[in-house]
Amino acid sequence: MKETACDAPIAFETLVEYWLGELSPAETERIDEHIILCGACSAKLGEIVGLSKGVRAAFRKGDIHVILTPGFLDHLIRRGVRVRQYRCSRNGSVACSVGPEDELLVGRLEVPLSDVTRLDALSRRSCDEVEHRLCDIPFDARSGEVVVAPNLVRTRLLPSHSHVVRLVSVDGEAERLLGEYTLSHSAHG
Amino acid sequence: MVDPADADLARAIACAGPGCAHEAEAALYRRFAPRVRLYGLRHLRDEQAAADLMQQVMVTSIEQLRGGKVRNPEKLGSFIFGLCRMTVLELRRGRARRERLLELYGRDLAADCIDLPRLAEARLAEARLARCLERLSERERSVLVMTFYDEKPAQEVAKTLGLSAANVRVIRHRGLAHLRRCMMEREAMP
Repeated sequence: MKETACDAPIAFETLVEYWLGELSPAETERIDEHIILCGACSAKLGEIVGLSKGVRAAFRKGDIHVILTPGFLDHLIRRGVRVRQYRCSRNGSVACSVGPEDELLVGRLEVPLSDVTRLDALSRRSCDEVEHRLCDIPFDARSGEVVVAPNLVRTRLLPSHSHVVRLVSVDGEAERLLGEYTLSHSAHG
Repeated sequence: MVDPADADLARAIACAGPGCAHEAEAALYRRFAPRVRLYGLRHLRDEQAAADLMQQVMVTSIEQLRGGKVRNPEKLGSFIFGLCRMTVLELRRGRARRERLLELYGRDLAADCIDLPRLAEARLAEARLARCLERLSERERSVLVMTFYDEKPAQEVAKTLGLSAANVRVIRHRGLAHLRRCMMEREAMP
């Protein structure tokens, strides 16, 4: 159904803030009423709700790779998500696998981050020998670790292989290797 | 911002005999039900509760219109908004009980409600969205996942990332813009 144009449209970002409960009670109430009165803005809100649901579904199915933080990972564990996690010390290695019951697979890579402003990860798997560079990955400097959650759907399809991740501090043109991690993945966990 | 057609619908329902204005009632439902559902999702954060709200508000609205109890048809939207607010309060009261029931029977109920064509369509859209998420920058993807997994405001996501809330909003805004653009491009593909 084509919606009639709105003569006082609410910005997409404001609707996102409304959806996430970031607005004041007065502003929330103003938008509450507008949503009921206005087809065009309610359609925009519907799109936000759909995107939100889609992001959640992709993450829950393990259909994307994503860098997390220890705080968020603890939150998932408290929520009852079945997480298989492997800690890997700096320049260390760890044997790992994934089981059918796992909902999330993570590598927790210990790394000193106190003076790091930008962090890149160079990732290479022995099964394809292609190096991927993940640029400017998010991290919580206080935690001293990087939490990598690979695409679970794809990981389940991979043969046994070794996965080498190098974390690099980037400062302008200069790069400094912070740590190298070897994850030896067994296809039959 | 009153849409004159709202008032026309209200009058058509009020002037016809009970149940005789089928087309106007259907049009009213098509127009307002999705908006009421969104309002419900925002305030109840639960699909089933939002669907309950939608049904209750739309049934009450039509009954009130049929009975000539909506005094100002020009303000039909505001009337429905008032019903939404009242009904949300009622539903919140009954929620604890419903949550206990869902815990007991939720899985069975979900299995009964499967609509295969819609499920297939939803899965295609999900797959498209997952591919678009993979194309985002690492920061954008992380912020969107940490935001939408539990519908967290920027302030809370910022805490776990060691960033400012303003910074998280900027990354979230860019990420959503890229995601929307990617989804539109992929939809347009033959």
